[in-house]
Amino acid sequence: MGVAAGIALVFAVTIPRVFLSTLAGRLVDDAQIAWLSVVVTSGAALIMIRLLLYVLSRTGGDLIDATRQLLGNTAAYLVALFYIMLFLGNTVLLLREFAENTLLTALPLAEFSLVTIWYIAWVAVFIWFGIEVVGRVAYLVLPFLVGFMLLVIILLIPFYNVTQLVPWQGHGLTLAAYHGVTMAGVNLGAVVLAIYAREFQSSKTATQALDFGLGGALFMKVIYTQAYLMVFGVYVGQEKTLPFFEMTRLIYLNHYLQRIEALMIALWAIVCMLALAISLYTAVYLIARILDLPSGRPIIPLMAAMVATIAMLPPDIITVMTYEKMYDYISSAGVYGVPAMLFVAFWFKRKGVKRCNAV
Amino acid sequence: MQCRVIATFLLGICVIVCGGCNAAREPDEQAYVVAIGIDKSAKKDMIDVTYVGALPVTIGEGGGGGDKTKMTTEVTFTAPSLAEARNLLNSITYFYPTLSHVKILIIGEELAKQGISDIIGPLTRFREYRGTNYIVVAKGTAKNFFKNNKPGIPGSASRYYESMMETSSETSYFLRTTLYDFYLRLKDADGTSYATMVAVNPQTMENLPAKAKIPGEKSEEYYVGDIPRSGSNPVEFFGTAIFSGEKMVAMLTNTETRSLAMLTGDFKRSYITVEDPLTPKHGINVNLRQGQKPDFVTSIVDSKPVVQVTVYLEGEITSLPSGINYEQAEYKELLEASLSQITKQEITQLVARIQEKETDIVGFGYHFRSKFKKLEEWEEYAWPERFPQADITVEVKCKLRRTGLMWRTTPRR
Repeated sequence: MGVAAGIALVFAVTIPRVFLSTLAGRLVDDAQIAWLSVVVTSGAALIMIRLLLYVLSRTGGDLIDATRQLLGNTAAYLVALFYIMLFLGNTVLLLREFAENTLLTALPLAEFSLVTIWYIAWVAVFIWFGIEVVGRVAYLVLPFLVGFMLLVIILLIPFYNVTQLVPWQGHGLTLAAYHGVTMAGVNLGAVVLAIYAREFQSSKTATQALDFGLGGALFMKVIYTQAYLMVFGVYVGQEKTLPFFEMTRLIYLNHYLQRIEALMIALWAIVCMLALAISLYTAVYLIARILDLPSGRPIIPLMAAMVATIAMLPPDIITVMTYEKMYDYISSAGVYGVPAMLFVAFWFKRKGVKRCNAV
Repeated sequence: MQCRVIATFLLGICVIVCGGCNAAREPDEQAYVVAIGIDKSAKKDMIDVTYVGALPVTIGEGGGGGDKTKMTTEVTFTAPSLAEARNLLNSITYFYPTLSHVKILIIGEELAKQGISDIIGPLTRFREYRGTNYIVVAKGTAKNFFKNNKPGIPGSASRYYESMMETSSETSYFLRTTLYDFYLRLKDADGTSYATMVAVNPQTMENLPAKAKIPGEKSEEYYVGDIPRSGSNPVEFFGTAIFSGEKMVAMLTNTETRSLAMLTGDFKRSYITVEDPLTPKHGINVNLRQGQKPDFVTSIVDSKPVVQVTVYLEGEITSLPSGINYEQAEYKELLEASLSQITKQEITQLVARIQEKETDIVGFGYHFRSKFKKLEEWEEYAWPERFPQADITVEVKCKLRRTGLMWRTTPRR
C-alpha cells in the first residue's frame, strides 16, 4: 500500500465518531475547551504510534513480528489477542450505533436486526477482497468525504455564534488535558498501520500515512468541535444524540436549498461501512496471524455473525454509549501500553536486534 | 465463473432490497401537515392541537364549486400531548399523517403565558420536527388564527408561511423566529427566548397606538392586531412575544421589535419616517439598514455589568417633501443626528423595558462570557439576576450613504 491508501485507512477508521455522539460527550466533559481534549487525544496517539512505527522500522516486520522478536511468542500471542479484542469491540460498538442511528434518521420503520445484519453482511462481502481493496476504496471516498464535511461547515455559517466559544477554558485546562490523555483510545484505529506494516512500501510510507491520516482527522475533529459549539452551545450541544445529523438538519439557505441531511446520511453510512470493514478485517487478520492460517477468509462469516449477535445484545443506545466510554478507556492501553512496552524492550535489546527484510 | 454468479446474486438482492419498496410511502398516501397550533384547553391538563393539512393543488383547482383559493384544511383535537393528538389525527384521515413538512408552530397566548417547556421539549426530540420550523405566538388562540387566515392567493400553504416569515427582513416589524433559536435560548440563561406575534385584525380602521410617539418620529407604534386597516387577509404578523424562562411575559410593538433587530444585528432594512429637523410639519422617509453588526463594549464594575452598545446604521433618503437641500453636507449631518437620536431613544426605551421585565432577549449575557475563564465562574455570576441591574448605554451612529435618484433638491418656486 502507498501513502494515499494509508492516509485513507487511518482517516476512515478514526473519523466515524464525529458522526456519532462523541462531540456531545466532549461538551459534557470539557465544555468550551473540548477542542484541547481532542488535540491531546490525537497528539498522544500520534506520538505513541510513531514510537511504535519507529520500533518496527528498526526491527522490521509488523507489530506481531516485532513483539515476537523483542518479547517472545507468548507476548506476541497476548498482544495479538488484546488487539483482536479491541478491534472486535470497536466493530461491535460501531455496528450497533450506526444501525441505531440509521433507524433514528433514515429508516424508522425498518426492523433493527435487519439493518444490523444488512450492514455487517455487506461489510463481510467488502472485506472478502482484502485490506488493499478497502484502502483503495477509502482513498477514493476520502476527497468526497472531506469535501462534504467542509461544505456542511460552510453552509452553517449563518448559525455561528462565536460567543458560545467562551469562557474559553470550559471546565478547566487540566481536566481537558486529563480527558484527552485518558481517551486516547478513540484513535486506536491508527494502530492498523503497525498491524499492516508489512503491506506498506517502507516505514516512511507508514509514518507519513500516520501523520497525514491522524493529522487530517484531528483537523476535521477540531473544526467540527468548534462549529458544533458555535451552533448549539454547551447546554443544548450536550443533549444531542447525533450532532452531525442535527447540524445538517439546520442547513437552510433558502426555499430551494434546505433538507440536505438525507445526502449526508448516505455519506456517514459509507464512512461507517469503511470503518466497520477496517476494524473487522484487522481482527480477522490478527486471528489468522496468530493461528498461522493461510487465509482469514473462511472465518469472516463466522466473525461477522458473532459481531452482529453481540451488537444486538445491549438493551438500548444509552447502554451502548456507556460501554463505548469504557471501551475508550480500555483501548487507551492499546495506544499507550503496547507501543511503550515494545519501545522499552527495543531500547534494552537494541544492540542485539536484527532487522527483518520487510519495512 | 463462480465470482460472476455470486456477484449477480448479490446485485439481485441489492436491487430488490434497495429499491425502496419496503416501508415506502407514496406522496399521495400521506397527509402533509404544514402548520400546528397549540392552545390551552378548557379541560385541565389538556391542550387543543390544531393541525393544518395541505390540500393538493388539483383538489383546490379541479371540480366544480368549492373555494378554489383554499389551500388547507384544519382539524382541532383536545389531547394531553402532541403525540396523542397525532394518534387521533390518524383516525380521521385515510392518509398516513406526516409532520416532516411542518413549517410553523403557533402557540396560543394563554398557553405561552402559562409556560411552554412541556411543549417545546418533545418538538426538539422528535425527528419529524426540525430546528428550522418557525415558532410564533398567536394573540388569542392559534385555532382562531387558522380559522381567519385567508391568504387569498392560490398556491402552496407551506410556501405561504415560509415566504411570510422570510419577508420579515423587509421591515423588521416582526422577526424570523425559529424553533432552533427559541430552544437554544430556553436552555441558555445568557439570552432569553422571543417569538413573533400573530393575530387576527378586527379591520375596523380604529387607531390604537401602543404608546406616545418619540419626539421626531412620525409613525405610530402598534401591538399586533391593532394596525388600523381594512381589507385583505385578516391575520397579521407583527411585533414580538418576549419570554422569561418558559413563560411569555410581554409583547413588543413593531418599533420595539425593530430596535431588537438592530441590537441583535438581525436588522436588514426598514423605512423610517421622521420629522424634517428644520420644518417639523414635513416628514422625511429614509430607508435604513444595518451598516455593520453592533459593537458591544462590556465591563464589570463592582460586580455590576456595564455595557456600551454602538449601533451602526446606514440610510438612503427616499422622500424629501420640504424642499430643503438635505443632500448638502451641513444639512445631511443634521438629518443624520436626528435619525441617530430617534433610533437611540427607541432602543433605549426597549432596553429599559426588557430590564424591567427581567428578560435579556437581546443576549447581552453572551458578550460578558469572555470576562470569565471557566464555565463554572460564569454560571456563578448568575447573569439572569445581574441583567436587571446592568448599566446599559446605547449609541447610534447613522450615516446617510445615498440620496435616491436625486442628488440635490431645489426649493418650490
